[in-house]
Amino acid sequence: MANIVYLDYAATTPCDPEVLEEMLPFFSQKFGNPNSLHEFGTIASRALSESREKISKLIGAEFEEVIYTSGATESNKTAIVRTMQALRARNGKDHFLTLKTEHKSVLQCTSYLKSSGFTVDILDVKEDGLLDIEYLKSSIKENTGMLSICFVNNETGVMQNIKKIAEVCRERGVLIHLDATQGFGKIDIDVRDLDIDFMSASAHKIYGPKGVGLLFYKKSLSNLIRIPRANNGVEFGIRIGTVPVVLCVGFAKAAELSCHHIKDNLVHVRQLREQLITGVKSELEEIYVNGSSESNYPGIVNISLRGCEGEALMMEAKRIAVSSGSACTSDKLSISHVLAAMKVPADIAQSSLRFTIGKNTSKEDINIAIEDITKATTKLRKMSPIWDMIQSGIDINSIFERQR
Amino acid sequence: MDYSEKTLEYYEKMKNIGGFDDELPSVGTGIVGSPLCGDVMKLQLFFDKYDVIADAKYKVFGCVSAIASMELVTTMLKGMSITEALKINNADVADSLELTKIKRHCSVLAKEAIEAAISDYLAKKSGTANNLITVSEKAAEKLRELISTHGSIGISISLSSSGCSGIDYSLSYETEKDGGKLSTEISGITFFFDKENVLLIRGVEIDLVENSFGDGFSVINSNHVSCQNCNCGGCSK
Repeated sequence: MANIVYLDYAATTPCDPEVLEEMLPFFSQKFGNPNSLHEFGTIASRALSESREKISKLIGAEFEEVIYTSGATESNKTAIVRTMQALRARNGKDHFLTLKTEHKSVLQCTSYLKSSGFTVDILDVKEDGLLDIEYLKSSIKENTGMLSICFVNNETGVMQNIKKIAEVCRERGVLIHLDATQGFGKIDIDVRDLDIDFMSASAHKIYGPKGVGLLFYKKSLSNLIRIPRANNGVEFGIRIGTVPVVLCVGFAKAAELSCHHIKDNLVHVRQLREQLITGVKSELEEIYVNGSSESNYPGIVNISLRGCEGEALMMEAKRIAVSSGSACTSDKLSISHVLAAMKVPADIAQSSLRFTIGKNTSKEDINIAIEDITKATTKLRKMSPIWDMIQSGIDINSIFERQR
Repeated sequence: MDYSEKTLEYYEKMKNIGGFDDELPSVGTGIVGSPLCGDVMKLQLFFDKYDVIADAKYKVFGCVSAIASMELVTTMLKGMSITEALKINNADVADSLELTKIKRHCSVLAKEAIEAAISDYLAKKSGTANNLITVSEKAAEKLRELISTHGSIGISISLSSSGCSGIDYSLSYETEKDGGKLSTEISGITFFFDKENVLLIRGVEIDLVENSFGDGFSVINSNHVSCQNCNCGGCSK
């Protein structure tokens, strides 16, 4: 493990030592239940408040506009499903909008909504992964209640123009939920400036602990997502259960560290991104970088090494830990739904690897990645029937098209 | 990643990677799969003059299990006759490599690659092969007579059904010379059939039988007899 270069920071990150230090006392010393009225409880409750104060300020929200959840998946589901249910009950708005490139946790909500009688439109994206604003405008209906959209795509790093999108939603009376799992702590976020209604984020993507996330909601909308008859209990009546103070304290510390270093981090990851792309392209031909080159978070780099299949590439590139867009996760097609939505041809999509650069990544790490990828690609291309076809000028995707 | 030791063992070997000149009459090539499903396999078989597989090479665009599956089958194929090769079962491949459920697809593709490569070889040599179809002397005499009376160019063999009851073959007059079909000449009779049916045509025996209703042709294929074990609709192979 020690000799493997970790380049999968979009999957999860190691806990920062400062975060860990902040958390440690809350395991055995300050272990109280924040709901208890005695001294132990007060200490825990105070720490919880401080963490909430910190984190809400970082996103430009008010104290009571942030609740802790078990992670972004729960935040997404709470914001989307509860809001849509409340909107339908109140004013009959039962149409939900989202994008084809969203995270599975959001797309799963759409199946639930559909089975509960809501109408759902899952919007296409352009080939660079961005949402076309005019297309969004034409997709909003009288009864559209909410749009859920990802800030930074977890597979490609493509960053949507949220300000513009939120403006359109505002004009048309549509609420907007931002899935900022990959954006929070990496790109400046001010919920008032962006003018969004809900936002999800997660701690373990920014060197915090696993198992905790947050949901921001506009104070005026809290009634939409509050649990009926929860009596304003823990987490302002939106979520029940004992709050894991230790995780919240860690999350707030991680958020603070990340948000204070956004600029430096962007410079760091952009440099390494350029090094990686230039390095691989100088060694190999037929290399594609998937997703917009203008609007992205540079720490997520999705590269297709044409002619080689992703899983075999991962096997051959032994010194690096990356992820592949093509995994047999089910009996169904194994192609990445994100790349498919971007109309990336099947063989190029199957050749994709996702490299994610973190704060601990060094130039040497990237050099190892370039070396390993070059070696793996060269080896696999020699044994690839598809590479042979490409070399002899055959249009792969037209050959296999009829097999669909 | 969670691969079995057996899968990794065959993956690491990668001994049989490569290929032969597709133009050679002794080479059969099969390409199966698609980039959409994540795997494309190319299998090439080199046959000796007795139709025995002298060598087998492959190329794969695909995952670790796909590569291991092809390495295993190419190792198995060497020295096999066509009949033996066609008996390789995808379940045997999957079990040998201890493939997980979602990876069993790779073994199915490997089997399809074998069938495709053999079909290609048989199709290539169908014009010269005299062992694809067997015709009894009596049947040949009758067929020649019918062809000349009818003024056709040969006999077309088509498949009418398959499944538990085996395959039913039917004979008809062929009038079109360039109908895109393959042909093979036996006992002075040209037989035509569709390229994709070459594996099912292989082994067909045509005889003339006499019974109380008069003369009739019997067309049977001992490679594809009815299945004794189940009632499914797709086990004619």
